[in-house]
Amino acid sequence: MFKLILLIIKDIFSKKYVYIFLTAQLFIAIIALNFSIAIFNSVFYLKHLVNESGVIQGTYFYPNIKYSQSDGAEIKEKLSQLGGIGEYGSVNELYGKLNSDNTIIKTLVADKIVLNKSKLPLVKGNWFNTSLEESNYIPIIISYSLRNLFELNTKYVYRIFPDYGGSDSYYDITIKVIGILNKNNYAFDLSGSNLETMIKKNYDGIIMPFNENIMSGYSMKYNRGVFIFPQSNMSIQNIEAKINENLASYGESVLVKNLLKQYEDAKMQIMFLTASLGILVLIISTAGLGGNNMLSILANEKKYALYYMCGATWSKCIMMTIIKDLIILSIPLVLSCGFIEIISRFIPQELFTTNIIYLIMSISICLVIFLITSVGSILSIYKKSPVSIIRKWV
Amino acid sequence: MSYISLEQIDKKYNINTAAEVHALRGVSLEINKGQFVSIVGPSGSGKSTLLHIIGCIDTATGGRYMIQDKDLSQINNKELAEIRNKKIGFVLQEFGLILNNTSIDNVSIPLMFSKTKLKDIKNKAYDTLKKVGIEDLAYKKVNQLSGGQRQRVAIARALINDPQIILADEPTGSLDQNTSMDIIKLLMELNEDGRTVIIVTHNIEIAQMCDRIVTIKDGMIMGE
Repeated sequence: MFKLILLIIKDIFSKKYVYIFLTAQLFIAIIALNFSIAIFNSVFYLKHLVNESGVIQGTYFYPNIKYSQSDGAEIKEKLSQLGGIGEYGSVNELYGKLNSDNTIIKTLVADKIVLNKSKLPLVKGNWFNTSLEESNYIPIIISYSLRNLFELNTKYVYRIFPDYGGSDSYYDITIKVIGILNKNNYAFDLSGSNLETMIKKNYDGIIMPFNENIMSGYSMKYNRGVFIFPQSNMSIQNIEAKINENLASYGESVLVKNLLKQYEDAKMQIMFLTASLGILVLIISTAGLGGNNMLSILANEKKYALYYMCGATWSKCIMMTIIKDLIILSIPLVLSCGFIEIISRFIPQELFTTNIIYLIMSISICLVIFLITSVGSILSIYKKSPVSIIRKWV
Repeated sequence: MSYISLEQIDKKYNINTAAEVHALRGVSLEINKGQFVSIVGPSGSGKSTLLHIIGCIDTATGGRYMIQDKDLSQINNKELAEIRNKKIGFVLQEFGLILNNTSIDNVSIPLMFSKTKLKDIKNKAYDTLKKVGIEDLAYKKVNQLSGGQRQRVAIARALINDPQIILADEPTGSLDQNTSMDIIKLLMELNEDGRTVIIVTHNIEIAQMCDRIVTIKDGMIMGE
């Protein structure tokens, strides 16, 4: 067997440019496919989250004044007078850091009502639940990007700066990591200065519930907003209209559904263009890949007839073709895995995120194309008698 | 007893189709060990088909073919491959070499399918190239060699496993007169070493240099 592999490798080296070209095609095809799958999947994933998320039933009120838990009483009162409103909960942004590390971490603080309705997919741990309300610590969920800074089910002293950049005041609170977000997710990032930029792909920070016992009295002044949900007998569109009519001087209300749609529309165009480019490259590279693979195998039939003449069985010749195919295949597979891993670190995640499943899908599709063309060519050689090939040669 | 024995060998192509060709019709031939035989005949007479059957790269559709009393129509593909590898060396008109590979790599091919140890392959191939007088071309790519040199590489490949039968299909067909004679002399030397050599040729001058001339026409042996 070792001698056969040596013969195959020599064979590959004797026509190295053909195989380099074939390898490059396969490599490009895998990358292009991975890119397209990742982009399409992110669109579908967003649609899925929009449909699955509980916050979709609400409207988001974005105040145009500094609104906080403590001084938002006026808005709350106005909301309670409107009628038809079932629940509402605020979201705030603050910054914090661990005592052991200087990284400033974005922290989303949301009312439990909001958190209960916006369960995000986790890679580990559990989403918030009410049993944690009375605890002397605040349960938190960390983004995937922070998984190396925190350990699951571990408590930390967390220093929060409710007015980071405005004043130096801080509070130390005890937090416990109860979950880690999926690498790919969409969350209300709250870092945008307007409603259109409220949602971000792949939230990078901490999510924690607002805890009355621990955090009451903290003055949080960044990006506050309120999620408002209607009573069951009221339509959310009516509530949105009412809020915009009665609270116009305080801010603007947009249906979460529309907010997500706006985000989706904004991203769709760039995703469509990128995906189209990916598909174009994919079609060209896979068609070339299939064609070249077929040609390179067929071009070798003389060689196999020669091996047959020199003492190989025809089955052994076919086996050599298959082994050669696998060797050719393995190089771009390894290269593309490495390449995708590297580029995924440099390309903005808004444009390209990948995971092992996309990679497996891309590789599988390319493998199928490669194998179909290989099997077709190999079968066509197998059906021939070696002597007919030798005759043509002579 | 004959070394090579063919009894009533039939060969048909495209059986039961409109394009059916009866290439060999009841060919019987006995060849003794150490004979130098030439097979002559017009194009399409079945000379190459006969040589391919003798060389075990094609199979007869009828009749019996034996080497050293072993009936080759009764053995499996693996055993046939072993016979091709060990007992038979084949030389083709167009050399049948891998042009991008070196002479030594081409000559080594049969050893890759034999039980020869990997470490011995290079030395054995080099020694065989030496036997045919082109050891200095061992590491040259075949596409850099002349026709005569290529044919010597092909003969070296045919010899590498020290087979007792050398089959050559128009071995001088692509060569000039002088080179052709060199190649025939080389084949004669191999015959003098005790090997059975069978060549297919159009060249009557070459055929007359052999022990026997077998004439074939329309798939039948017309005489000797």
